[in-house]
Amino acid sequence: MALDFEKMAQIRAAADRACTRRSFLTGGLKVAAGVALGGVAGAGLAGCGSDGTATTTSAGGSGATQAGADATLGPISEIGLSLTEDPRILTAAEEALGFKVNGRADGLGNQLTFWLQNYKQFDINQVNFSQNGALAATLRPIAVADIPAWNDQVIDLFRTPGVPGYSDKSGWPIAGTYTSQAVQSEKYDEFIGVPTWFGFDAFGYVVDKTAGDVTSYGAIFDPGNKGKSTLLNEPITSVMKIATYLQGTNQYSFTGALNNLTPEDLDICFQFLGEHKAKGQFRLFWSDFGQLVGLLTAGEIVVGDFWASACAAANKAGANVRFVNDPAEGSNGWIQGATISAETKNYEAATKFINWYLESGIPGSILGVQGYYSPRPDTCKPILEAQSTTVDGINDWDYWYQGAKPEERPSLDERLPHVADWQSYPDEYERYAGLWTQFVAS
Amino acid sequence: MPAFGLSSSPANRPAAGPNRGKQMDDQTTAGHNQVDALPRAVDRPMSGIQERAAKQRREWHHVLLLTPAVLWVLFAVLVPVAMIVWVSFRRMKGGLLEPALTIENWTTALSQGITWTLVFRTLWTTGVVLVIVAALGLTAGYFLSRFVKKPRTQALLLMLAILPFWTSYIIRIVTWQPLLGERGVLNWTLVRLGIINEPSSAFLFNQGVMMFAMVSLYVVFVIGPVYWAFGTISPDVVAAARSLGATPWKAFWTVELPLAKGGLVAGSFFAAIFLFGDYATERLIGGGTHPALAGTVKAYAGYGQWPAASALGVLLIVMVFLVLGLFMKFHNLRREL
Repeated sequence: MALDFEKMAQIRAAADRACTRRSFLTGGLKVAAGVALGGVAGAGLAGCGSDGTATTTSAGGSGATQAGADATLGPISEIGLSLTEDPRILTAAEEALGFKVNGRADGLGNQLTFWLQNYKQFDINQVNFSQNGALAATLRPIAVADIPAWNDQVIDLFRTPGVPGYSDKSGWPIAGTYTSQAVQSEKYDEFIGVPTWFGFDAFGYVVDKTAGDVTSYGAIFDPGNKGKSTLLNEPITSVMKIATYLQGTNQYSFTGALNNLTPEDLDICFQFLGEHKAKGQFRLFWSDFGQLVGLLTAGEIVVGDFWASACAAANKAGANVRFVNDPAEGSNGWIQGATISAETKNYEAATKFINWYLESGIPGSILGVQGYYSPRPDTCKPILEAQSTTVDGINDWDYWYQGAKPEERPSLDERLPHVADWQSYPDEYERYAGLWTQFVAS
Repeated sequence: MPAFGLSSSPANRPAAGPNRGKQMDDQTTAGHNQVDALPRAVDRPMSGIQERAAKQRREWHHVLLLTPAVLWVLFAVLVPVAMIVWVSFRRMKGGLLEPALTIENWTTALSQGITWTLVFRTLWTTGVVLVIVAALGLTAGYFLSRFVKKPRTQALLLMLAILPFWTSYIIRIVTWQPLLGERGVLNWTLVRLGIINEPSSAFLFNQGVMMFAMVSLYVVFVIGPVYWAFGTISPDVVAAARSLGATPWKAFWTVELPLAKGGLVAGSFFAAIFLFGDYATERLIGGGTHPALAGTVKAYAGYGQWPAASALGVLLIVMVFLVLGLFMKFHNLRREL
């Protein structure tokens, strides 16, 4: 893996020292005991856990394990996509936690650059885990014990290798969630980042306007859609989709994992891409959610690697776009989650916020009706079951998680085995970025 | 010798009339001093010390006037550019720059064919748009200055040309989409008129349309300076040419245009600077399938590949200087300052 674990270990050691010292000074002996006993004293007192002076208020939400509101904590600042920095989510978090949460929403592309330039001023980056490798030196690991919501109720996908959805070749999503030490020791006790939501990327098309087999990524490259197809202007996800297509249709058998191609594998993908670009297959390369919705609504493109949420938004605006949940060649799983800055001074508040993100069920339900899943479905279930905002007569839980209308939206259990692999930061990232930039410019 | 600050103290000044005290209050304007110095020099020759003091006073004012601009250029231009150059000799790992210096980014950038494709595309796009912008700007500016008689109407028309600049740059670009798109105004009109049967996708997301949009964005940079340049030519000069037998055409080419050349070159140079850096039009109207250098720099930066972005960025800066040199060959821009 390209992750800089040595550097992460140093950061962890330094942070732990700082954390212990600070806790000792503010919380007195009680905390010191908590730190010392962290391993056995339970999640609440582990690491930089809650100190004895915390003032717990009943902050609504789901009862006894709810993180206590603490006036001495925070404020914290995070960056993320507009989906994660939803004001409804941040407001609910502030009410429950008792400290201010400043959220800054950005596009996927800008987010990476912004974080690298500003990570010292921020505590949390809610990020696609495929970017974590590019950010490794700016992140500090998170002890699993500091996130009590990461318990037995977390779906197996994130806790057990080998279950449906797990990739034997890449080791994801386990390998992308925990640090290499935690994976090797099989203790899974330390996060690179905490998964807060996840989903499956595939492609979409405009109904009745798209030629070819619309159950396959091949539709994007079908001659009948020449000059009307598009790809996301980003190397990791787009290249992975090409590899998924080529492997799934037996055009080529890749030596490496689909999310971590070797230089030879990459050359195959880019040869394929270059040929199609030269033929004028692509109308344009899209860059962000809003732009994609606009293009679909205006009828400028018919097929491409659309996002499910963008298809839904375009349909609300009058378009007739279908997102193909599980293409014949398989979907590309992705994880979005919370990573913590190596320079944070608010580690405790940050972990409380992340814990709330999973435990309250509020973010999970808001993101749920946009097509995305929570690692803790049990906390979203009561909220989603009580509402029916998507299809009349079907509650949101049954529709989005349980596959009440399988032709539109299969259940999570049905979708997991269709994951070809998970979007991750490849070892050869620089080569990916270089070749992709050259392909776009060719 | 008194220091700069002390040189303006009354002790260093020659004995003076009632104006002296007033002048002391106006230390910050160099002009006052110079005007004041002239009659004094005539009235009474200054001693060596007095002359030096006056000279120092003027230099001190120069420094004061220059300081804000110099600081601005230093922190907003020179330091960032130096950092870009610096980063182009570094490597990145895990999101941070590694300390060691390397020329790898440069050998990669300069040895790749695609880099030269990008350079050519940048020059081609800028060149084509510039020729059109210069031709349109010249005719429009000339029309404004020669064929519109009333100064009020002139000002009004110029205002109309500048008016779109009151909205944001991105909005001015994006606005072409609903005009030229599949379901845009142009397609709707053409289908209605029976000129085409089905909406065409040929009016958006290609290089031709992108250049068209760029022309509309940057032509006003030329119209303004050309208009002012023609305005400064005395009508007597043109009349003289005509009375000596020149046709209107010849008078324009041999008298007016050479005199207004400065406006044309200065305006075109401004347009060129913007064209070199315009990746937004390329993406929003051109579709981003054929980016130039600036768009590729933006792409590399977005992927966290700052060294590669910096190397291409430095290349772009070098190109701007080369083009500036080319413009200077046509016309000494310093004369316009």
